[in-house]
Amino acid sequence: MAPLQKRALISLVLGLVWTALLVVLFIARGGVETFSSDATTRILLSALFVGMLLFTAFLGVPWKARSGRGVDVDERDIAILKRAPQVQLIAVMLTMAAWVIGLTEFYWEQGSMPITWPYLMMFSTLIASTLAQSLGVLIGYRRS
Amino acid sequence: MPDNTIRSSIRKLRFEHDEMTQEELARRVGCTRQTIISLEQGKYVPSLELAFRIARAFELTVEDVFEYRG
Repeated sequence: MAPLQKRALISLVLGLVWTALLVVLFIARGGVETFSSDATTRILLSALFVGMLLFTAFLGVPWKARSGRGVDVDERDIAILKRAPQVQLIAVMLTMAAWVIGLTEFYWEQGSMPITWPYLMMFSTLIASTLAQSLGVLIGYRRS
Repeated sequence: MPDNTIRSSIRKLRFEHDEMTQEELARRVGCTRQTIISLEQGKYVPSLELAFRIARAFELTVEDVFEYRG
């Protein structure tokens, strides 16, 4: 297994665990209602969310590798990294589509939705994007 | 990037050169062992630069190492 492939796999697994933890905490602390009214819950979940993004950005698939300056990557690794955003794009589009369709249908009658939802949309879209980057790298290794 | 139109003789050439390991070849040409494996399996088509470096490692020309079947 190539060093970058190993990092992507670890990043994906830890990212999924981290996401599951976020979801469990979100539900356990009362869901949307508490998230909206309780600042502590909002700060706690936001901190976990930012922690996950930082981990993925700097430890998962390192920025050095992305720029091609890492010592443990070669031209094939860089080619795979450059194709990974295709998977990210699909993941982001699907996540956004799911949110927009789901929320629109759910709040159709009311004509408006609670202000918290766009915040959660941002959370989940960024999480999907970071997980999809690792997934894209792993798919790239399978194909080349 | 599977591309079966380009075949390489890297595996054969390694064995003809004192059974050079994939690790040794990778070190000489400046890539990872996984890339050598991928090249041998015909899954990855190298850049011109890497192709020249591999050919040079065997003291051969690029055409001696890679074959285009287009």
